[in-house]
Amino acid sequence: MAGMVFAVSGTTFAVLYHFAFEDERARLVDMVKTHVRMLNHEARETETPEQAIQHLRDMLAHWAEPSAGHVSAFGSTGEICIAHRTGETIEFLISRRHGGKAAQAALGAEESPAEPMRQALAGTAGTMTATDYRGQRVLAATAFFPDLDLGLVAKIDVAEIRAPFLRAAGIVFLISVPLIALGAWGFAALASPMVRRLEESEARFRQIAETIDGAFWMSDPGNTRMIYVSPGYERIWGRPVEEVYRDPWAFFKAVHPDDQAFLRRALERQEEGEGYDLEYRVVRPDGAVRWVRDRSYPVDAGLGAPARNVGIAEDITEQKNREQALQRFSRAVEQSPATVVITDLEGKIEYVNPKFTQVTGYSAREAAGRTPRMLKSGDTSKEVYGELWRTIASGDEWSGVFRNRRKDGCYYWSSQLISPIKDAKGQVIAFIGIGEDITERRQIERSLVQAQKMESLGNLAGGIAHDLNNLLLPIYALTRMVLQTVPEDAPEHEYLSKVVQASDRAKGLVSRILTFSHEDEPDHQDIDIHATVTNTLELLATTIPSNIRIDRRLDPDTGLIQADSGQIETALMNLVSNAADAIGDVPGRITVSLEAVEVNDEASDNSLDLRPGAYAVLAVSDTGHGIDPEVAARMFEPFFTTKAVGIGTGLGLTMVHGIVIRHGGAVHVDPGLGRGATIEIYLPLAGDRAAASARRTGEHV
Amino acid sequence: MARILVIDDESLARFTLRAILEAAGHEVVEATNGNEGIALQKADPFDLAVTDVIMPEKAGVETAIDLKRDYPDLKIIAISGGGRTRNLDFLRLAKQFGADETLAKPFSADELMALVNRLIGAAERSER
Repeated sequence: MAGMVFAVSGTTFAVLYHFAFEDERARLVDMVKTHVRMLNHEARETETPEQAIQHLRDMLAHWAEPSAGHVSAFGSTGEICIAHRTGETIEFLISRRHGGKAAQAALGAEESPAEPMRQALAGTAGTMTATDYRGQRVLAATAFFPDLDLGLVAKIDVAEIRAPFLRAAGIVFLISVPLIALGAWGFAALASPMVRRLEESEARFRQIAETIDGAFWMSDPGNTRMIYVSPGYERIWGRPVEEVYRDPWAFFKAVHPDDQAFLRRALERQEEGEGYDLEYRVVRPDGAVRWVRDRSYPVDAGLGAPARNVGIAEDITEQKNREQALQRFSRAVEQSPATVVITDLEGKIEYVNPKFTQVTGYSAREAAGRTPRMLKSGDTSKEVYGELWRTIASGDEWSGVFRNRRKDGCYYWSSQLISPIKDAKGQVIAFIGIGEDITERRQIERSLVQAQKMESLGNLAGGIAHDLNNLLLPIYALTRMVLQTVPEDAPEHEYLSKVVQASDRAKGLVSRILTFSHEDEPDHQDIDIHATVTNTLELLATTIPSNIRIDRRLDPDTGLIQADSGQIETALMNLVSNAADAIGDVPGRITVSLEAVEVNDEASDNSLDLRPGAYAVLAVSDTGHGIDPEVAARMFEPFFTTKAVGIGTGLGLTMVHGIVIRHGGAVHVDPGLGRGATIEIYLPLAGDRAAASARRTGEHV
Repeated sequence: MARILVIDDESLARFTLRAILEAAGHEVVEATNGNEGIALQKADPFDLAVTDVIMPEKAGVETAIDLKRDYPDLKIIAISGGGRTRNLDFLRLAKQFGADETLAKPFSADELMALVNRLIGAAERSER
């Protein structure tokens, strides 16, 4: 600053000096011209040049008096000199200030003093800066007066012209140096806290920018120049920050191709002054992908239009991974084939998954705030619930099977695993129940057990039948042979006849056992089930007691089945005979119905374990007392009978079951306890109807 | 009178068959399994063989196949008590593979003799 002050003041002085110098030059020229005019006048008024010069000298001497104020402005070193040539020397005739013939100077000498006068005598009119006869540096104006062969010089010392400026400069210097020093001190005193604050602020900014995990950045509004990027950029992008300074789009080029389109749109909007908050992926040079959250804010710096954009890009890969893991987990729970219920510590439901809704019928909204007690069927004892709560409250898992009740009142079986959910400190904060609807599985298991039981019974029966038939052969054949040799009136004839009768019944019994045990392969043909049923009912009409009426509800268009008609007759006869026995001696009614039905794939319709398709359903209902559950469970077992000994063989329904199974059908029993039982047999339809059913099924699929 | 080979692993069955057939005047030779029966047939051919279907060693269907292949004129009746496995299926199989007639145990003398007479009569008619 001091340098500047000196430079400014020095220049000022130089300019002022220049103007003063030029003024002095003009005045000297005027003065020389005035003396030339005076010499002209004197030359005309006097007769000789000497007189003119003397006259002029007198006049000048008069002017030189101190009282002659009109030349006082000429300064202390100003002087008018008139000289003429005397041979090779200059003779000063008038030297107004420095007295008389001040000096003589050699005209030819090149570097001699009195250069202005030499120039004047040489005829030069003008001004110059040169050394005068005293050896002083002067500013001089010169003229030549040829009439008298005189040279005129008006001059003043350069030192005199310069002196006031040097004095002024000295004064200025003396004044300004302390002032500058004072100013500098004051400036330093005032500015240093501000500078320190600025430095501190800058340092803080750098500390923040350079230590945060994210990449702090600053660019111009048009994204043509990156003003600043913090080192976080290198940590996230895996690339040097220099590349962004070289190419402000370098960061963009590393963005995952799938994410570039929306980022580009955001950057275009940013150029119009809009900020953004985006998540995108960055592909590092090593191929690793990082998730970035990048936020941009336009900064207008009070100018109205955005002056720059500042932003921060953070690495959110871990967070994103956690989110994705959580999303996957959430989707897994949502799509789980198991029911999921989360309750608070009091058992109030906070969450149920869609499977829960599907199984129980309660929507998430309906379930929220209620407790799983809404599913209670009443079958589970208080002790079990008590044990459940004790187990989970102590932080352990509980597993077990419940028979629950759906919203529509139906029951279902659920295998449950109930666990406490603990926080990081191990405190139980909620409970989760994961359940599986095992209703169908239980039904299948029960059916399987029943099927296995029937299968093993069948094998047993088949084995017994084989051995019995072999044992019966001699009794059956030889007794008859012997009987033919015994007179009819002999008592032995009657005895042997009883043996023959017994062997006949035994043969029939074994035959029925074989029918049950699947040994007897049916002779399958396309038969009209309606005709078979009608014929059988006509045969039965004669054997059914008169107290029982038979109602027929037979659809004549039921269709054809692939069956052994004899076996179907046997099955129907057994069913009607059983129904009649169930009614007993009281008046009653047996209803025989026949119709075609569609069995589809839905579990509710297919508890019979039948393939989807068209079936003929032959149903026999009675008005008896129905069937006890215990009886219903065992009624198809061989030799199981509720009838008095000697009346029932226990093979009737066993045979029905065997026949129907061998025809690819199923038996359904409605025990109808207290109102009369209904037994339905399903037999697959053949021919057009079955084909039509298959087509319909196909269309549904 | 015909020479009849009875093949059955059950002695009671063999006894019964012998009783029925001898009562009708036929000569009966017994074998307890198929291999034995085939050996007897080789040694001195029979007019008719009555063979059980389910037997240890060599079963009736196989025996019927072998006998019919080597002795096409030999008439065969397959009999079975059923059970254990699908005997009536085997009777059907036996008929398909060589047996001329089948009969399920127990049967009467009349039922057996009706078949025997038909087969022997047919044989005699064909001989004539």
